[in-house]
Amino acid sequence: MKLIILENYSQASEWAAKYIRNRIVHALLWVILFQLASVLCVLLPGLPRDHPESYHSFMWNNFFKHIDISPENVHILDGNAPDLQAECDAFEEKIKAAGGIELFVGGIGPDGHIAFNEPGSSLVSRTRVKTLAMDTILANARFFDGDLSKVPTMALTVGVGTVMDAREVMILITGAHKAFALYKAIEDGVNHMWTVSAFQQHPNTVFVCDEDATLELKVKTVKYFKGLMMVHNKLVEPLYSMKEMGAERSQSKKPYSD
Amino acid sequence: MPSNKSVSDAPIVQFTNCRILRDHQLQREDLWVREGKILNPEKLFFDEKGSADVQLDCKDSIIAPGFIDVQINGGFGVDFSLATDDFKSGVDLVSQKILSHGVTSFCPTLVTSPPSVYHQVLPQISVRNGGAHGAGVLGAHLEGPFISKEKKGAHPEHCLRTFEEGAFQDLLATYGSLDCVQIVTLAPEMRRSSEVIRELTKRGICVSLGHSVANLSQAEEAVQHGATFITHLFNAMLPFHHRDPGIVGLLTSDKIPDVKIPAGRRVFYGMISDGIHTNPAALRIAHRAHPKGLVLVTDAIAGMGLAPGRHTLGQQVVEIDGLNTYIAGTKTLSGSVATMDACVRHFQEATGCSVETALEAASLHPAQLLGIEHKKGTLNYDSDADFLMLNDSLCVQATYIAGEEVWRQDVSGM
Repeated sequence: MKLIILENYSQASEWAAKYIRNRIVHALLWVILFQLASVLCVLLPGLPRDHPESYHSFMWNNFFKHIDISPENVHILDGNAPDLQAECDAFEEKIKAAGGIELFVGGIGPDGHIAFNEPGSSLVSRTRVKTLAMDTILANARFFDGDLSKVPTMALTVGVGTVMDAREVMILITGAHKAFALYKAIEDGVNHMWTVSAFQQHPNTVFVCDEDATLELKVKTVKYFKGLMMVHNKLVEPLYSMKEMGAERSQSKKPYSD
Repeated sequence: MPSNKSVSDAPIVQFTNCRILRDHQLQREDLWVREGKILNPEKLFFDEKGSADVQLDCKDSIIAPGFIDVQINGGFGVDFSLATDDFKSGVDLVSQKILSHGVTSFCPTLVTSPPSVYHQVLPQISVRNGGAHGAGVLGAHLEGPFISKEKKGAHPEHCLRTFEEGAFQDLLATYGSLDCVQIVTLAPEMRRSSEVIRELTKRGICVSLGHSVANLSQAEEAVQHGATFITHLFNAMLPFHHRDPGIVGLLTSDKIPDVKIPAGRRVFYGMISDGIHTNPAALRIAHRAHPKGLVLVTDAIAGMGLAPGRHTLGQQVVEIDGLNTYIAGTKTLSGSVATMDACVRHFQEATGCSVETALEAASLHPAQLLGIEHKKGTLNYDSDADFLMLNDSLCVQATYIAGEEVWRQDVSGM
């Protein structure tokens, strides 16, 4: 594991963004984005695509509209699909067809969940329908005007096993409210009550966090990884090929050349 | 890149590097256009999995909805109140020339004229979409002849009429046809005006109060019966008086609970902000009293766009001297030679209002007045892609109608 500790939220975000950029350029990646969790509600109809709190709206406004990505390369689990388990199975197939996930990027919940794999989720689970924990529902209520009855209670999510199959995993953790989860994830044992701890058994994991998120870690741990920052920062330096090409926009299907 | 569009194969244009006027604010967003309408890019992305065919860099321009001029009597030598056999080519000329002022839709206006003029001219006016040929025609604005003698302004007295005999039938006989009429300006103190206002409103025609000596209660009654506009506020009406505000008092009528104006009915008012028709202080007072009702109009006459000198305005001769236009030999103002973009700039300077407010006074508000804001006057998804590119000084750089560029500023001047 690499633990990258930055001073605050903005710096942590920027470091992660540069890292991803470098990975895309270096690995000649055609970016195919698998949006890995999508929320639905079983008792009420699934969140419509254009609901302002849908993942679609969030991803459009915060990501897709700012970049050049072909919509055919975007896959989001459809919470309104008629057969939800079939939708989940098809998603796993699409990942396989694309050659597997090169890089998984995600955050964690205060309860240590990765995607919507709530405490108690199997560490070998696959993409499936999952009931949400009350903690998660409460956390999401702010997007629904505080009305708990409007918050979806189920979600489609990739499983812990699905993410473990990715060749590299990056987890972003910021804020003091996530500190205990980070401690459980990296200093305690592998435990299905803190599903993100499963990545201790992944060969290639990067945790990017801010100072506040380290509040529950041992000083020794924090000092050790801060000491490695000089080495780790090389991972986000602009690559030689990028300096050559300058800042041209190009279609997302065209791979950058080295 | 091939676009996989399930809805339509028409090319999609993405205007980038711009600030667009949306939801009353300038937002840093791209503008997407397909088949002459503003497109929702999120829907395109997720539902159709489509993407842009063409991307245009707008070099940080402001993109605003095209201006709508609801009171323009002519321009470039063309007088809409002059009955000619080739009236249509006059309309065509003006509609083409005003594209450079940022006007994408307008109401050709006829001043008080004899019935023969209306009978000859009105059938030659047709509502039509704009395009490369010129701005769209929304319908005629008939200013007079049912107006007050005391406030006739530049209108010829011998053509003024009343409708006290036959009310609406008199009006219909005078005009001949109301098919392409969008707005009628009349004086509400005239006998039987309420009936006439109701009839016109029933036919979807906007009734405007102007050239009148009505007091406030007469004006309010007219609004109750359906009037929604005031023609060039302050001009050709009684001045504001603190014990009887007259028509000017309508600016705050929607705030008085005991006045029976239907809820949600907003009274709009036209202002000619050329720096001549109203003192900037008066402009500011009106704007602050009722900012959402202000509609910029040019009231431009045939001499607009031409050198100073003598021109006609219907039955009258008008003399132009700089920005001032008077009935020849008098000091009576008659129309203006202002252009719409100059009015927008002057309005912004005189009131110190935001760029968004100034732009909306010439686009959103006239669209709301005419009840067409679902397709004109905004950059909302699915509305007509009539828009302008402006620089930070609010000078028009390019005009687009239905997504096609119909005018562009000559770059050599820069």
